[in-house]
Amino acid sequence: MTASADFRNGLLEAIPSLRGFAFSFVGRSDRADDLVQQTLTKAWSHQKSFQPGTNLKAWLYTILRNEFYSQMRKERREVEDVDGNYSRNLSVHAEQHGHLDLADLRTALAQLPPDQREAVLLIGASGFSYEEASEICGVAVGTVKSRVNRARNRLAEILGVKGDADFGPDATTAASLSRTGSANAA
Amino acid sequence: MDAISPSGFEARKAGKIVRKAIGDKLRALYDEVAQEPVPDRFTDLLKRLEAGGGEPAGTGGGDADVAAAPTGRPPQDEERS
Repeated sequence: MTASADFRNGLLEAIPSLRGFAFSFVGRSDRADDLVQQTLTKAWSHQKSFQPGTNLKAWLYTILRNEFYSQMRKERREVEDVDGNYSRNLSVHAEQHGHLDLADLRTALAQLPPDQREAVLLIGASGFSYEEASEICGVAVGTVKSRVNRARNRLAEILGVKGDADFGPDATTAASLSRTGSANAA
Repeated sequence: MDAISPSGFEARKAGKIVRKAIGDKLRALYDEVAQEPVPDRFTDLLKRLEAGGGEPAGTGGGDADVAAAPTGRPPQDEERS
């Protein structure tokens, strides 16, 4: 198998993970998939920059998050708008899937600054090590750890998670009662 | 709900439970999409790229968005000269 075929297969294999992260990070299905598409296109055209045998998944994630921030800088009006769109579109999706718990989590994630959101997702969802996440984000390992901790604490606070309240029916009910109704988009 | 200050041990135990609960939820959120079959738009894209077809209307981000080397520190987005 040629190096190019290996690279292509590597890209294909990474798509589910990239989509999972993009959807959780950006929050809008069409925009998330657009981001993944741009990432794959960019990765393909920069194939020579990638050293075969090294961490392709981390390399692709680096491209994806850099692309996100690049777009955010170019479209500054979206910075103010991003949380509103994020929550609104997520609540529609949540209703379609009927996952109230995940809808609460998505809404909570939207309230995190992007650097904390990406850190907690890279570690907690995508399964990277702290060292890999620090490479992807271009910051020190300690910075990643601190962002993850802050994100977790903030998520716990927003979701009203206490040590003795699990994510069972009581906690779900409590979360539903305390919600402001933003997730009940018509 | 009343917030009764937990003891140090209870606080640490609560912290672990909370972290695990949040971690489980984050993975569930991610898995919900990651476990979907790959949409056609992506397999079609890879076919097009392999065949040498470009993508119309690129993002214009350029080389700065791509890591120079996987083991090195990836460059931040820089102004293109």
